[in-house]
Amino acid sequence: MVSALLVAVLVVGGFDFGGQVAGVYPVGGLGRFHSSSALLGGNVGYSTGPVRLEFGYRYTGLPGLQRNSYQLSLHQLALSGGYGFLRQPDWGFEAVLGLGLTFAERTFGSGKERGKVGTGELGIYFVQQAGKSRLSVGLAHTLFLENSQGITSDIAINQLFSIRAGVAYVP
Amino acid sequence: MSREVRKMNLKDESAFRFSLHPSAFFLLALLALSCSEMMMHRSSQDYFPLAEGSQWKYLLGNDTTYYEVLGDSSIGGRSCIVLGVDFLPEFWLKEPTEIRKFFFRTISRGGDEYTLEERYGLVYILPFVEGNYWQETFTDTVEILGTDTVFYRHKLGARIAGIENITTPAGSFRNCYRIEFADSIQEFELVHTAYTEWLAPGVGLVKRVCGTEELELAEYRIGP
Repeated sequence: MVSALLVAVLVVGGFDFGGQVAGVYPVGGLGRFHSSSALLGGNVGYSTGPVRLEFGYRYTGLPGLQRNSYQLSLHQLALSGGYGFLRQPDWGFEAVLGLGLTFAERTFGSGKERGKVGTGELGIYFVQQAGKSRLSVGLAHTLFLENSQGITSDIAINQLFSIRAGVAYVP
Repeated sequence: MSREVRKMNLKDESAFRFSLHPSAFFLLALLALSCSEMMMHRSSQDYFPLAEGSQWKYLLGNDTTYYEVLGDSSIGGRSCIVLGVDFLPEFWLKEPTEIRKFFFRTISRGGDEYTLEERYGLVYILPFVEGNYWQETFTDTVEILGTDTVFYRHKLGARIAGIENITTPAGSFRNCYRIEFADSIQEFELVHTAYTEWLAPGVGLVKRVCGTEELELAEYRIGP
């Protein structure tokens, strides 16, 4: 019984489980046809000292401009690493660098396009941890990187900017 | 002594390799992931740029056709963009969700001119998504010479039929949308025209095929 509890503590120690919401703003070329929207996501994090690793899923549906039926749906899987700085006992800041894969779908009337795209993410968050809860609020810059011609030719970059808030349960 | 030096070199090399690996791995992973269907690229591009000063030169058989954005104007109470096609003006209305062209058609009877169509007609719905289609029909009955009437109908429909790479004398263009148009005008008789256009991101029209006629982009310059 005691050993089972010990194993459980070792397994979940350092982990946290939570969710995110965000306001998402297309910038650059994406802003030509897309409005701002909300993001919803869930994530699993693992912290050790100032370093935190996170794996998460996020969904955003960017609507078209002027209420047409166009929509760009983004299902994003991302693995990110964060480093805490200016750390205090209960709060601090965290710089995050992430890498992921996004499954995208565009729909408009009878039209539909699907594709996947590599994603990079940069973020900075204010983090507060009290008891079993971990709160984070910050800014994230998501880069969609595409290249149809192999790794040596030019890469097309599109961007989303988001203001995020997350809450996680720390067992 | 030489053995010590060799050891140090090995140590240095391994330290260098260790410091290089995470960044190289990250970059390679990023580049590997970046290979894609260019969907986000297409969803952010302007396929019908009408920046003032833009010029396109097309080959139509042995002839040459010039398109140039001449500036702004106001037609029908709306500000529009003037596109010179072989120096004759066309008036285009470009909005975030659609692009319209000013259609003006008249007939002459008994020395008088009668207007059959005078409006901005829908040409493209934006953004382009493969498989989408649209259609707009304009109808009117025009009284001529006080006694006769003409039924007029203009129906323009289009379907985004594919995404293709196109090569013209101006170069190769990737991620072009192929749009198939059906244009029918009923005046005294029904005239139906079918044509296909290829529009390239950031460039605009690169190719148009109408029956046996083939218009291909030879040179272009976007912006002033």
